[in-house]
Amino acid sequence: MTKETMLNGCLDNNAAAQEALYAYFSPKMLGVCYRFAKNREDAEDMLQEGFIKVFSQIHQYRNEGAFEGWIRRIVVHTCINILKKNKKFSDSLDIAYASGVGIREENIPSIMQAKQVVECIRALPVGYRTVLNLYAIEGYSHKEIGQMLDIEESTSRSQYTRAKVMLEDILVKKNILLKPRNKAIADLNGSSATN
Amino acid sequence: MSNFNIDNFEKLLKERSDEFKMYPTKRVWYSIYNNIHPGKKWPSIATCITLISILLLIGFLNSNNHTGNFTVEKPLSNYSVSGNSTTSYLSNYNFSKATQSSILANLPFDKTSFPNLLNSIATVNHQNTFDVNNINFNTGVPITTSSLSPSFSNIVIKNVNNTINNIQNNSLSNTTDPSLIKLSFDNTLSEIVVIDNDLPSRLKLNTDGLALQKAEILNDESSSLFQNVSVDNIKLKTVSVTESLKEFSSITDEKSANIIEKQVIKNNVIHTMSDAEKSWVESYALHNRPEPKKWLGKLGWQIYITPSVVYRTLKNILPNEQNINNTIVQKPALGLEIGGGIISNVSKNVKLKTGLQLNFTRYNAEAYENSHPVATSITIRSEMGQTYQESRSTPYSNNGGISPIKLHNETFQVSIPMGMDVALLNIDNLQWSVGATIQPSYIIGGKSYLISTDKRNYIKESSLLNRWNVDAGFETFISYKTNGFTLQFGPQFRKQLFTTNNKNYFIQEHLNNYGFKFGISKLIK
Repeated sequence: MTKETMLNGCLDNNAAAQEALYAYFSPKMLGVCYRFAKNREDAEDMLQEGFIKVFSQIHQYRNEGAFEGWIRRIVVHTCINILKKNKKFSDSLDIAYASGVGIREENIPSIMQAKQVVECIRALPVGYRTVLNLYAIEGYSHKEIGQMLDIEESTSRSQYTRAKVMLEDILVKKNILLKPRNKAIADLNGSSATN
Repeated sequence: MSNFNIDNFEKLLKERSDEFKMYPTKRVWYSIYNNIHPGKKWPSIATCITLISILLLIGFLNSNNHTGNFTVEKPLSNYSVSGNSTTSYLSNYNFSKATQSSILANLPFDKTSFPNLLNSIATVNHQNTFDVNNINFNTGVPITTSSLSPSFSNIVIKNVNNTINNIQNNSLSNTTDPSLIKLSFDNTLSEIVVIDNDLPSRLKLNTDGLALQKAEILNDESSSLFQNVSVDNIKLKTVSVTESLKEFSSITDEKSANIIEKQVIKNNVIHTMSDAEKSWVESYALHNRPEPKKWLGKLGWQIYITPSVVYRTLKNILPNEQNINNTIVQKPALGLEIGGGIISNVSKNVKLKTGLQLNFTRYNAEAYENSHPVATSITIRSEMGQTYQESRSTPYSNNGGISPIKLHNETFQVSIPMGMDVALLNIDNLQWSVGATIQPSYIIGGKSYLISTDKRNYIKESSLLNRWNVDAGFETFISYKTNGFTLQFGPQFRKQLFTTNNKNYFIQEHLNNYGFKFGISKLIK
């Protein structure tokens, strides 16, 4: 079934077309949800709500831009809305909290491929990883992120900066990411001076 | 492993994240489908509702005791007594549950036109049930002329085991309204009977199912007493018991319900049946007796419960693999089966049976829970026979971890057992039988923790559960007949014939339930 056939079928509320569309996009979208969610079950709940919105709003799709991108935006917004209902998430967006938060890097598994990176992202505190997901991966601007999360643009920036530093640190320690040469030299000099 | 330069940090994140895919469980799609097609709930729900409805219907149809708030759909209609064949006629009305413990009904009669005392008793229920096939008033004390003197009485009738064991005659000589007969009922059944002077000690009401069409005083053992009955020219008022009974049905307070007086004088219309009417009614009653049903006495219902212990056997479908049962620690747990259905007596010793059964199966896996998921994989065999691995993440470890945990592998099933029982030994009321059933089962839901390819982890993956399965049941039991019911108990073995999870998962699991069944059955007569 082609994308056009699926789209037209979904517009006609055809169950077979809806299932085909779901089967085609759900693995990738669940990956998106998983980056935002606390666990797989939460991710599936996000995916479920996201696709319900996709099917109920599909007549609003104007064939402008990629269909996958349209679905992805709905799913991401659904994830954010679900996260915002959690008070703990709101607290985690607070700078004071975020600056003092520890990282759970000891729990990051030694795994391979794309999931390696995703699991490292998920090891970040929820506020950090949400901003990082939205900015670095989903491509939203800090202004848009501020509107989505009801925070200041500057807060989004600072959250991202901290998240990035933290994630870099994790990736380097996990030997996924190479340290830049100048930073490695600086570290080396620092340790020599200490000695 | 390929490493990435930190200068391409964002690019790395986006590329790697976009490559990441996960496969949702089927539950997600079912939920979405049910949400976007509310009128087309997923077939499993419809199937369950249908099966449960059938079970309830069977249970209702097989029960003689109908419960619920009782109502009298039609009032007691014309009521007449004439000649020596004292007969009363009731219109159709239905009885069901009466929660009140006591009822006192005041039924009006025309005393002035009623020289020989005629009393009427109406109502309800015996221990919240109404067995219309077994209404048999057997007065514990003789009703004599003196006890039912021309002064109308306040008759208290207590019925225990359908026997009237107490009739009190309180003279109503000081009653302000002598046109009333007060009848009270204590905690029991009811009917409408006709009592006259020199009344026989036994009265019986013939009934037809729930519809009481005819009530007559039988002239059997006390025929001589009937000779003295002289009730010609008796006129009865049409008595409406509808309102009073409806009002009684709402009474729940036992104290206040002990004695309730209600005057029902509304709609009293004097009516006397002509001879033609009487003969028509008698003829109607004679020629419209219910046809005996051939299946009565052969069909019966049964309900049962079977607590069981659930074991599993595992088999690795991959060649050259060690015995999986020895590499993981799994413990049996308690399961349960509850069911009901119909049984059919094919012969004295052979019964066929079918019905609906709800099953809960569970066994436990001893594991450890880690604070963060680790990556692992499960082995799947393709339709072409080749194996491949699907990656998963899980916090549950088989070989040690942060905290021990019991993982519950469990299923909820609806099955339709079909089979037969064969009696091997009959001694008086005792019977020893063996039985077997085949049980197509639909798995409504459950939790499944699969063992990973390296046997080091458990993965929660319910999406691989087979929705349909078939079980075989074997049992032997002792049954004992008492009071029209048959009690049965005995061991039961239930074996799942097909693997619990998708046949392509590299471990095949079969459940064995060892249970003890308690059941009760009754023939429909």
